[in-house]
Amino acid sequence: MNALRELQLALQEHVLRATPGIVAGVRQVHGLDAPGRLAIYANAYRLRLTAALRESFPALVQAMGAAPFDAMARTYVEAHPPHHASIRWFGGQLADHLQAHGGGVLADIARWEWTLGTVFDGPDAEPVGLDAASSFAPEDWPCLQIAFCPGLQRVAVRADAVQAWRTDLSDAKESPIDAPSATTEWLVWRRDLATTFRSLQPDEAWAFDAARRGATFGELCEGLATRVGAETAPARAASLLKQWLTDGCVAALTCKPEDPTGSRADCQSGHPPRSIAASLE
Amino acid sequence: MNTLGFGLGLRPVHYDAIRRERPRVDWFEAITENYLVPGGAPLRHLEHIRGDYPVALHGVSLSIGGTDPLDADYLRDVSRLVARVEPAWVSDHLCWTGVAGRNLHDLLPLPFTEETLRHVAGRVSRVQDVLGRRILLENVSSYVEFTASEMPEWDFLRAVAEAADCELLLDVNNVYVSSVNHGFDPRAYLDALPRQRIRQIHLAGHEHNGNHVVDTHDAPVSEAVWELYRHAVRRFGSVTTMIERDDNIPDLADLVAELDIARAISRQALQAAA
Repeated sequence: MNALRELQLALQEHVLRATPGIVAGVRQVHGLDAPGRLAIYANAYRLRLTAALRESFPALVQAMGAAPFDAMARTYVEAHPPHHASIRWFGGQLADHLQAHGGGVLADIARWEWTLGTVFDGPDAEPVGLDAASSFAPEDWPCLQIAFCPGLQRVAVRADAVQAWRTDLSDAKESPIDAPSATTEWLVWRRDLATTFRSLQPDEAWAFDAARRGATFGELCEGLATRVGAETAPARAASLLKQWLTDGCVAALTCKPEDPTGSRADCQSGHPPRSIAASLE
Repeated sequence: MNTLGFGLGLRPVHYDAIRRERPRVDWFEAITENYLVPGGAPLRHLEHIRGDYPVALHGVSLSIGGTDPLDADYLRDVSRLVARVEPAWVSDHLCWTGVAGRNLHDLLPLPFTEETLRHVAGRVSRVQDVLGRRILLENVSSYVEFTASEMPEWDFLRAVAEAADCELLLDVNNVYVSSVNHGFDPRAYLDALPRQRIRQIHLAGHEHNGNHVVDTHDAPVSEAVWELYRHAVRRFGSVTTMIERDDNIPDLADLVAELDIARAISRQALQAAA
């Protein structure tokens, strides 16, 4: 296998870096000479990957213009030669690549489009509805844990990048996004096959991340108390849970098992379970 | 050998039309990698269409001739897709796609040597063991021949199929493209292949560039390829056939009409041979 491997390494190096080692191993026949024949592979490699990026980032193509996009794509192809089995995943580092080269809002458009693509063919899920919450006894509420649908994505992207994406690709009659141009936290998920998204207020972003890490409902209440005040924290936690359930973001609600140290009792402290549960009805 | 008839490559731009119109197509060939995703619309469409039509899976990343180890994760994912879709068969290309952890996403040519033959045959056997079925290997278009080659491509293709006990997907367009680029007789290529191992035929368009031809899959099947197809039907009999179109993809109705040309040529060639 040594000769075969050496030939493959030499041809690949020629495609990637135009090293000449393989030229002598190519038979000279009629028509094109050996360098011309090898150039077909080298050119096709770059054209194919550039086309894949165009397909994954149509709004970025619109925002940059076709020629500047292709020039940028060439720098990405050289910096990040692909290794995945499927070309579908080529482009996963484009946002970071743009960011590293001062891409600004363009980097965020790329991050946004990649996130949408990830959600588009992400895992399927059967979300639960409000009745999932009402099946728990009030005294169990503080120990509720939320399992979010697996394909759901959280992303921090400037609102003007999302606006640029919308302007480029969506119905122009849609209303502008009511959010500041500063970096905004977004939730992106799928309702059956339809990709959807919305921006998050800072307290919801905190609560979502905490819940995703396994925080109980009681712990969400405690954390929110430092952000919105102890009086309103339980109602805010309940309204967030209601929102996540009605949005179709929740795959399951479970009750955190009691552990020998009695932490379950701790997580119930300070919150009136019945009023929380009632706020979801 | 039972045939599926006359099919088309399954392309996302046609999903809605296929499900709405149930076109006069006997089967669809799905690109395996397009469905190696966790979920969502691609798999949903594929499963719906699979409910109405036979489907074959056609991969581009197996790298059966590559010298990196076979990609166990990729094979696991393909196995899962096979279990989910229950395709009529699974095919990929007699080529390599990258080495040293890279994937150039191209169908790169092999040197036709005894060493390559042993290497490929061993890997085909391992893949067939993992998938629990025989696979089909397709001849690729090529633009280079290597000085290291010890035999013509058609002898290599036949030897691989026999050594690995796999079947062949004969791409008639690729034979034509390579015949122009390397100066061989495409009919001699077909005549050298083992009739009993040809399970499927591909037809596609290409681009003439003066002193060479590029396999672009972006145009209708050329007259020269139709003529070679006629020869293939005379030689191999009734074989499952499909048209591959990957770029400049026309309306579904246009491809269905082009498929009728394949039907007519096949019918005429079979009648003439009877």
